[in-house]
Amino acid sequence: MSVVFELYGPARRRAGQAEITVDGRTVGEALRHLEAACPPLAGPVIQNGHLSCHYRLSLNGRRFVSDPGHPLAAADRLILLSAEAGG
Amino acid sequence: MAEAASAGKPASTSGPVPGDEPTPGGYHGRYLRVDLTTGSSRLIPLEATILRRFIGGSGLGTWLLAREQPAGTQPLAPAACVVFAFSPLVGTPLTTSAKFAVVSLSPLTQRLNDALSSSYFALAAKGAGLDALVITGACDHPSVLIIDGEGDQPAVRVEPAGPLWGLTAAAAESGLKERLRRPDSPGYHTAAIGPAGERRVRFATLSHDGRHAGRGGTGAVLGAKFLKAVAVRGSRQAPPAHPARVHAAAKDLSRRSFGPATEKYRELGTAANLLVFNRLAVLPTRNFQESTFEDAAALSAENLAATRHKTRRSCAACTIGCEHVYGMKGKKGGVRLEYESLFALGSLCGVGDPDAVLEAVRLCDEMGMDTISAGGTIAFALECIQRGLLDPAAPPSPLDPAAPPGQQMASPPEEPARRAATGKTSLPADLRFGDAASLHGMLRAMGRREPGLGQLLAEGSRRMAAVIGGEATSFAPHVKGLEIPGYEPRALQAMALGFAVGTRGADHNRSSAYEVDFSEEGDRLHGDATTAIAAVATEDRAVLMDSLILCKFLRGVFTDFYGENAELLAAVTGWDLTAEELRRTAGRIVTARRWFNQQEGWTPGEDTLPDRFFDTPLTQGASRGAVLTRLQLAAMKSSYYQARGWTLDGHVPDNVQGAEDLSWTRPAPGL
Repeated sequence: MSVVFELYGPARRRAGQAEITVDGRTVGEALRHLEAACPPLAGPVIQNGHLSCHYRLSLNGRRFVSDPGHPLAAADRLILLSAEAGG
Repeated sequence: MAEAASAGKPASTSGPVPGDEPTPGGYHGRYLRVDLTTGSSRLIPLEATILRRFIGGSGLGTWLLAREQPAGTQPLAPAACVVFAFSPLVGTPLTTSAKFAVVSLSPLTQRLNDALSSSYFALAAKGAGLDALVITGACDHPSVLIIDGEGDQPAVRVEPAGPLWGLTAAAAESGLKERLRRPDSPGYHTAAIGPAGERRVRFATLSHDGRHAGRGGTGAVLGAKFLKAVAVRGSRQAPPAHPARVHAAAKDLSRRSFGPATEKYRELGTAANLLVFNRLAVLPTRNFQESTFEDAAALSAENLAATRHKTRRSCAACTIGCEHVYGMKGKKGGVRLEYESLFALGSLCGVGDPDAVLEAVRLCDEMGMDTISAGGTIAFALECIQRGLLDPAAPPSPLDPAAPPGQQMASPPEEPARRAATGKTSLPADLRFGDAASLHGMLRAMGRREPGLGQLLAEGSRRMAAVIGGEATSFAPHVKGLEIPGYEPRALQAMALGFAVGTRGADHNRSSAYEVDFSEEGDRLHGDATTAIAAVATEDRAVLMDSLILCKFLRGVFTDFYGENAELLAAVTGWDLTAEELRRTAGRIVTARRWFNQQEGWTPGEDTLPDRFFDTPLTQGASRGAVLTRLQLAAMKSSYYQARGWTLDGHVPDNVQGAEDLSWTRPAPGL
């Protein structure tokens, strides 16, 4: 099942691309696949399938999720952004 | 105006300062009070008890304003005070600590205002042996205040501003430094107002080193005192109690400041918000009529970095380096750009050309105007024109004979003559959203207080709406008179609460409740009691950072926020501090600020949002269907007030910490 990561801010700069499609039935599975598909994100952004505390994940732009077991649906879009929203 | 300050004559300075208790490390234990009307000044001791309760910056500034300014003083009256409050951390090697707060009553909101800035002015003033500077009174002609702290006691004098009056803040600072420069003698650091401050534009800034104490109109307060600039120098130390601990902590904090918690600020700056805010449909557009902007990609930090980036800069004593400076095509120099300026002068006004937005920011810097209030006021005017509520060629007069003193038009006395001399207007014939010429013309007109629409714009959106009347008040984008920053409150409902209850009005920085919206702590589309409790916590953390003072961009590096900051402050001051004490201190300062506003006439009805933001769902993108009801906001406010220990309608009881601290020191009205 494919889901799409949309990358913003530092994550986009690290990855060098704005969107990456991966397989994943849960948030954790999708993050692990993203980490494998995009090595520059491994470490500072994703560590062993877990999102760094300095990043947030919004499911379809509606709610923030972090539970690796959170189920995903086909064509879900996961928006990856910096946790530092202020300015 | 009362008695004039003695031009060029040294002011008397009383000293030395007695102290009942030992002065804590990092403090001098005194502040300087300058009366511009009489030209006199004196040093006044600060008790250790007060310093421990209010620390510095916003906290100490609030206490000092309460102490020095009787309730009911109008913000542009000579008796109004402007407090420059430093902190025990200024002058230490702790990263981002070279900051100061400027605290006064706002001419925009008639409520407490604190605006923060940073860099060498704070270091120089602390070096002059001061924990704070209080300026009251008014000069009878354009002047500058000079504080030489190189001797045993600060030498204070007031001089004519001369040709500095009328210059941009940057030019005035350069001119004043040059005037004061002596071979083989330490130089001065300066803070100055621009032309907008001179003309008492209600959202004029105080600038120094290209940075601004931006919100709330501090520049107008100084302009009303005919004070163009303050220059200060000094190299006195306020040694920390435990230097080795401070150095170890500074080293550790600097190391962490290079890490992932600040990566966004280093890589792209705050402008990185724009693209993701647009994706989440929380980017205010065309005066909050929409929440996405079709030209967001063009304005994005990513695009600007690829096409226009020039350099990255830091404040003094900062290891983050968040300032991104962009060049305009075909023009020399660069413009520092933050998200709030980008949104306010870009999407909010419907302008999607990056060069047009950069030019608008440059104009605000040149005039010395808060970009959020400038953009918000212009966007509001454009919607009024769009709806046929405002004829820009024949706008209503901002003069309202029924308005109470201090709320009337704030033109300085010489302005009519100046306007008659020029007789020009900066406004194009057709004013509309998305038009760069409209934006630039309106900025010039407001900054110069040009007759007609310029005068009206210089008053801010609340006063504009009041004179336009009718439905205009329902969509004037302000809370308590302060224009709303770039966070759509219908779809960021913790932020909506933060705006509503904010001491200085619609203010993201003092509340920081967006942290709740952009996390799992709350549901950004459905604010509730949990949201409110979380917003109390973000506000407490924010006020502590603003009182210490440390840059909020550091907040992500702390894993134990209160514990680590207690250790920092203990190392500097020598106090035996706990995390719990600092948590209480933060709550005390928030309560003190609310109590101050109560004394200025705050009423529960002020803690709200404009009608536009209630009951009508958003229609775009990821926020489609988001709606904020009055009942929801009332429930969140109730939870917020309860968590703070205030009454059900938001009043501060006299017997709670914060209110007690201020009530015994505040002079009675009329004193």
